[in-house]
Amino acid sequence: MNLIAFLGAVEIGLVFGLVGLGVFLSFRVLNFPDLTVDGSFPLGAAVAASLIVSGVDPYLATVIAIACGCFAGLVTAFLNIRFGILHLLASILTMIALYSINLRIMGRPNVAIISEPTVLTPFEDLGLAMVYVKPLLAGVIAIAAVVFVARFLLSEYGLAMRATGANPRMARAQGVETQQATYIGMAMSNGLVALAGALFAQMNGFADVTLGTGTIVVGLAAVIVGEALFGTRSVLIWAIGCVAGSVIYRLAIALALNSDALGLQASDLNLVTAILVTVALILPGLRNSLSSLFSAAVTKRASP
Amino acid sequence: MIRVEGISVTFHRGTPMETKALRGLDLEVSNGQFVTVIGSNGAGKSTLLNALAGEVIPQGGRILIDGQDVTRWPSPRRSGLVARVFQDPLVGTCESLTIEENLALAAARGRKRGLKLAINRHLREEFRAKLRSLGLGLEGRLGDKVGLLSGGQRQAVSLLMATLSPAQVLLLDEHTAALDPKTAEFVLELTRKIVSEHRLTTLMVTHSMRQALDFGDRTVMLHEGQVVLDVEGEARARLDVPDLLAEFARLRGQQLADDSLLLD
Repeated sequence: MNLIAFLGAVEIGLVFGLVGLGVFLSFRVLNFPDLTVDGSFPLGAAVAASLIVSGVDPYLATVIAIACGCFAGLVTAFLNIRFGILHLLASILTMIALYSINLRIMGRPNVAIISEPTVLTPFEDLGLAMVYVKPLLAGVIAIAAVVFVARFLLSEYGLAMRATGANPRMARAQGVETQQATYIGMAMSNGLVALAGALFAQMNGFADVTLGTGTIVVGLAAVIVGEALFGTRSVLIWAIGCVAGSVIYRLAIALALNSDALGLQASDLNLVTAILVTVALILPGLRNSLSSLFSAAVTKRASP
Repeated sequence: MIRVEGISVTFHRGTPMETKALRGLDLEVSNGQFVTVIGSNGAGKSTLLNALAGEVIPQGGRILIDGQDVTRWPSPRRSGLVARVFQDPLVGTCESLTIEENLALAAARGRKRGLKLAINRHLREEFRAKLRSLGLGLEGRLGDKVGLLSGGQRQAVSLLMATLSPAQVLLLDEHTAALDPKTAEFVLELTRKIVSEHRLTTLMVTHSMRQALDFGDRTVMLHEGQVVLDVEGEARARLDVPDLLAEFARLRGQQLADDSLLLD
């Protein structure tokens, strides 16, 4: 793997680290399996790209993209809370709807912004090559997002949100407005994912309606890799793990794709991701049965 | 003060499963009174507590707590007035949060939660002192996940949480039923101490006749969603477990099967 490929993997890992943080908020904090992200990621890209093409300041366009993502999360939460639609199904409904909405926003399947100003434009004159600027900017944003999410979860309201996901009945008895906490958490989660989409579009010079496919799996992979490597001792470590997990996951993928020995092609990415997430999901169970086997063997040997 | 005026609760209304859990129940509990509530399965004990806590909204009647009509308030809104300890130790505390996080959650009950840090040094000291008073050695384990505690320890923490912010009413829903006898005794003693220290108006549902007569200063028996026996003072002091059993038997019009009741 050469330096360009390495920096590219870090950059994309950091961007998807934001997706990881969003998925962490919905799946882990709120215990709300949310597939809306497959729609809110391209939503962020579509909104940012379309606004930039029509002459809006890229930073303002990114902020509006975040707001649109928040709204998508609210819609899913509303379908679930107000009408009692199962979370998974509610999020799939929003995701499907977003496919059409994204096409409407862009007016066509993809929008190129390769020659337009982006959030990267102000850094072009710093004398640093773009291959460095992109991961640096993504890194700064990812760190800011981690600090924001961790600090929020340590606040009184954030604690209430964590209780909402972990034990809603107890949370209500302690005066937590669990519905409101769910709305806010889902908005934050999809806002982060839309931010990732907006950054992705600007760093790669295009938005495409099919960008979102598999976003949820990549986000979950980031969370799971982070949890496996960093643990869940505190919310800060957990949140750092989401972004670091995403970067490590991307580097591993890049390494696998680059090594000729494995014979993998770029198009094998989704299969590799699915297998990786599956292994990560069944690993804890396997580890338990393995360790119990091991400890059983030890006690057997220890007994006379 | 709690005033319950003719509340009725029907589950699965209009279906073959229709159950009238409360049928025009009246109850008045004055400030600082400790009431034990007994009744056979399906008498409406838990529904009464759920209605007071706001988990069940009655179809008819009124509930007043401290002079305020709270009948239609959802439970989060009521939590400033009502504290609750559940039967299941897993429900009352949050196992994936630490002891201090659970306590912080309870300390903010009844007021608006903002963005300042949920736990600070001052709060931590306060929690440590309160945990020390439990005598369970939990004061050194503030950062441990509650999931690591035993059922009895979790109920003790639940009771402590109930006292962390000013509440008018304490609801105990068979909160010792899931514990072994020794632990149950400890939690009951703790309950007695906490109730008298904080002068809480308390309703304690129990399956044990003995407990019902030994604890508190008034006993109420429910049957088919209504109050059928209400004793305090002299009359209550004269009452013994066989008297209560006789009353149960009379209500059922049959010899009581002892399956659902504990005699001691």
